[in-house]
Amino acid sequence: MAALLAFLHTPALAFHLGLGNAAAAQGAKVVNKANSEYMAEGNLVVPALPSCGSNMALFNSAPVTDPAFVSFQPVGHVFPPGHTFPADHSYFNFNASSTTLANVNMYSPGDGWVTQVTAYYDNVHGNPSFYNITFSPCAEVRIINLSVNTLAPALLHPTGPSATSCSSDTGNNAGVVESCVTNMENPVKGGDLFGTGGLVDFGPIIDTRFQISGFINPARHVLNRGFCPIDYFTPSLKATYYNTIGGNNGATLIKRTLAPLCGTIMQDLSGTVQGDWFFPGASYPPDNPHLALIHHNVDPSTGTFSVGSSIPGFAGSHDFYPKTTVDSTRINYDFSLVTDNQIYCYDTLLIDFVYGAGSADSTYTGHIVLLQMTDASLGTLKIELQNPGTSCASAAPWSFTPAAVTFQR
Amino acid sequence: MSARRAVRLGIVAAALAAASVGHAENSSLDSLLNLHVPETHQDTLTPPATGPLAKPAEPASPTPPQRFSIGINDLGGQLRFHLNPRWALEGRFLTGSASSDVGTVHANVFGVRGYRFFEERRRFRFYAGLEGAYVRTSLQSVNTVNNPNSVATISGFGDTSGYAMGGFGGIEFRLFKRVALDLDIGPYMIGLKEKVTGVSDGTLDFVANTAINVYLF
Repeated sequence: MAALLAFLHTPALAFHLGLGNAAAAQGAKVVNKANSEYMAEGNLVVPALPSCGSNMALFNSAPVTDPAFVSFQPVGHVFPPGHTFPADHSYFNFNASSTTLANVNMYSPGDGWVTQVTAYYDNVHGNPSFYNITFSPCAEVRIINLSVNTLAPALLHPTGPSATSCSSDTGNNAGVVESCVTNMENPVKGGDLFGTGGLVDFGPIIDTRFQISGFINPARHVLNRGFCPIDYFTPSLKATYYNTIGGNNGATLIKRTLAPLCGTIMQDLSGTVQGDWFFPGASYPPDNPHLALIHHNVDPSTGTFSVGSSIPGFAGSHDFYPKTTVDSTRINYDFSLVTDNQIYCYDTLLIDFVYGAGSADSTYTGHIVLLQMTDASLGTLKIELQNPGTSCASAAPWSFTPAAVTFQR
Repeated sequence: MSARRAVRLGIVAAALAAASVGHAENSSLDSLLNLHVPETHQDTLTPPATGPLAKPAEPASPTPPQRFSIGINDLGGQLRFHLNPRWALEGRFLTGSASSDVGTVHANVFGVRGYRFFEERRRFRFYAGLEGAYVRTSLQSVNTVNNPNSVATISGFGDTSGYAMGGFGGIEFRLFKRVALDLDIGPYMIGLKEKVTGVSDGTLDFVANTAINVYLF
């Protein structure tokens, strides 16, 4: 009887026209099975992690318990040229000296697996100067670039198979001459020690379940990378951390008060000049030599020119206080108000907002920035830093010189 | 031009070529279409003068050529050798493709068939047989954009090898003297093993095979 029931529940035999097609179909079945049962960590084949499903509460433990820890930065910080576009990760904010920070431990934020440890060497004959750790709570989610100066013994000697390969890839880290990537699938529990000292970035989060929407040219971006790491904590931890998201001036938390509180890497606003602009012919990544016309990640009421190396005399991050209503001057308009093909002018640039609102940047006294979207589709931008020795109002009428630089969406 | 279309054109060309051969030999196509040269009738009912009986003409060969054939099957080819009118062996090669989650799987099949043919009636004859085959597949047009940690990013992933074995029963229809159309169906067990992960799987499927054979002699 059981055999009969088993037979009745057996799916009907598939039908194929041609033994070649039947063999290919069986090959596809084997490929799909292997692809679901195994995954690649670098060049290491390991059993696939369990699916995250729809679960978002994947981090159940505080990654830092040291009292020196103050807050997490909102994502979207800029620091050109490395982070010309809004950064796709948060940062640990500490209120402590660098000496104290050398003893800060980082713990696993949840149950899961460390899948990769990269050791960076300043000297090929010495010990690594720091490590980057990749942690996955499940198949679709991983948090990368968790940096520590010393690695926990459990990760130095992972259980299970591992494979290490070394190269001259520096990861754009100054002073690094060699890196060694060890792929593994080392199980950890929330709270397990990852390492000590050197904590900087928290993230980015890569979550293949979702895509960041809103980019004017989505094909230029990695859409499943750059989510808010705080959103992956259990509700109590998430609430705690959301109360502390902001900047840190060394003693005082500067909370971000405008939504989204955790910041965002996507600031494109269709029909306006706001967002990411790409230097023609240059690859991305890296962020340089591109351009972002955005709002500050801690104080979004502040406008920011985040400039790679492409605009003469204007590299770096430059803030300003934008007008939020149109007044017919076309001077210092918020980027979201620049919606046509006219020339707009900016002056009174500020020192970058790092530990609070910056004062006027004396380096750019008498300088103005002109920008203009030059085509009907608003997909091309001309921008130039000029030094007329006066303000936008006094420098009118404005016109570009051959030094103007063009960007595209 | 796709491979499938090329094979189909090849099938048509082979059929036309075979048809012209058949026309040249005994006008079998005319016979098939019941076309006859009108007979001439004598003016009288008187029988012609009797004479010695003429030696009867050599009768046409009672069976068409069926010793060795070359054929085109679904995206492949085959060679068949008849041991005798009832038994035959065939070597064949087939290709095929199918979609997987990470790309297109292309298959090559190298098979050997044994046939038992039954008596031909009205240009139809049934047959049955067994087949064993070596199968290789490879993964092409790999797409792992949505999963950068897919095992498909590993070089060589998707290469499988294994076997196919099954039985079949079918019918051969003699289109022309030298050309026959084969159609058979049967259960096949196909087992493959992926080389990078070692994952294997076997499945019993029904497979239909078609072919056009040209009997050379």
